[in-house]
Amino acid sequence: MSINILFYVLFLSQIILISYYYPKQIIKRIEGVLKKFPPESYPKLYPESADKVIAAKIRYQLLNQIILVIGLLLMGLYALMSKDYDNGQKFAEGLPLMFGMVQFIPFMLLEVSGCRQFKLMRKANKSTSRSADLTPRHLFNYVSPLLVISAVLLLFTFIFFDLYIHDFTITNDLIIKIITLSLVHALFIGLAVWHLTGKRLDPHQAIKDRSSQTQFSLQSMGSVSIFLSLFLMANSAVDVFELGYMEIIINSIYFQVIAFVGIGGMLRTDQIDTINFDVYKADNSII
Amino acid sequence: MEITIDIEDPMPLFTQLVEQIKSAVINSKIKPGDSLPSIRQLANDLELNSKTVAKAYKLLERDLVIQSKGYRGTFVHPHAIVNSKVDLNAEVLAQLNNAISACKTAGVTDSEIRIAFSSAMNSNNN
Repeated sequence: MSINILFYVLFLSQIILISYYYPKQIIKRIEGVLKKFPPESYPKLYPESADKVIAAKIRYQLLNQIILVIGLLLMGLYALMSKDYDNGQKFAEGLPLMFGMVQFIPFMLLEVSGCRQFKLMRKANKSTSRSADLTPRHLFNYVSPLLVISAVLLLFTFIFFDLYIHDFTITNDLIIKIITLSLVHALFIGLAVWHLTGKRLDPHQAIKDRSSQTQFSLQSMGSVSIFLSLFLMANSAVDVFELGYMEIIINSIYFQVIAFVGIGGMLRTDQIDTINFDVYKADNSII
Repeated sequence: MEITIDIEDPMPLFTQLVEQIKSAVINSKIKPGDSLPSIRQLANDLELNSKTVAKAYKLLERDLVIQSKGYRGTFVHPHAIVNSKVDLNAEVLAQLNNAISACKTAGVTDSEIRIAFSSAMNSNNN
């Protein structure tokens, strides 16, 4: 019963955090930008009309509201079905993971829409002058070596831990986890290289803003890597020590941590007041 | 330290890059020993072909303004401030002017000078 109550609290927190609190913050941010930096004064910020931004905002809001309702319904359904299961029994452990993935869809759609806006910005950019910083962007200029070393060490610790608790036999489960980790980290390495040496998406973005964005992205990737290794370790431990009923709790915590690091971190780092919006003014050339 | 290039400027892009980096050195915006961005980073930031940036870096390396240290990257040369002030183009122009003046004094025609210059260039390239 206590596990069930803990799950209700955590799942409710997952629903509210990812489908209500963060979307509300993002909508507040979009509205703040529209109000403080209108298309008349900052035309480069709006390659399409402001109405399209408002329409995208409404779509995003609606999608999150639908997911919020679905989440509450799923919680009700879980409450009804869980009566048939004992307290120590593993039940619907994939629910927070599957629902968590759905919860991230509006954020991904917003990112895709952002990339589309940047593409239009690049197309509309008629400036013939281009600027660059003469400072090299090295990995350790943005993240501490400690974070990178910790992430790598935890990755190998997870593999060793999994082998250890399974008496050093390579299970199918471990192979799948290693493949998943490899793919995730290959993606992270690719993204890190792109952040450090790749082309900028926003042709008008100030060098300082690009730098802080790079720093945030690299730091959050390092943190996500650490949490992923910890999550997989916990996942292996609950299987071996027959604590399967805890899996649902761990899964929910994992998604909330990822949202806190990713979305929450972005909202904390890229605050409107700290971003240089002057670059989007009509009379400004590319900076 | 920022550099800006203009893609519509009649001056070649690699020359703009060379001049801007030399100017940054002379004005102490970048100091001897400072590291410089990789060719790829600079080319992507300026939306240029990496061959253009590589050509600029090669010329700067020849002029001892920058030095490449293999995998560690590219750095501002210890004598970059003095070397940035050396204008090889002006030196070449002065020497050619002297040679042309001497040829003309000796009665050599313009077309003969041009043919001789082309032939000298070709024999040096082969």
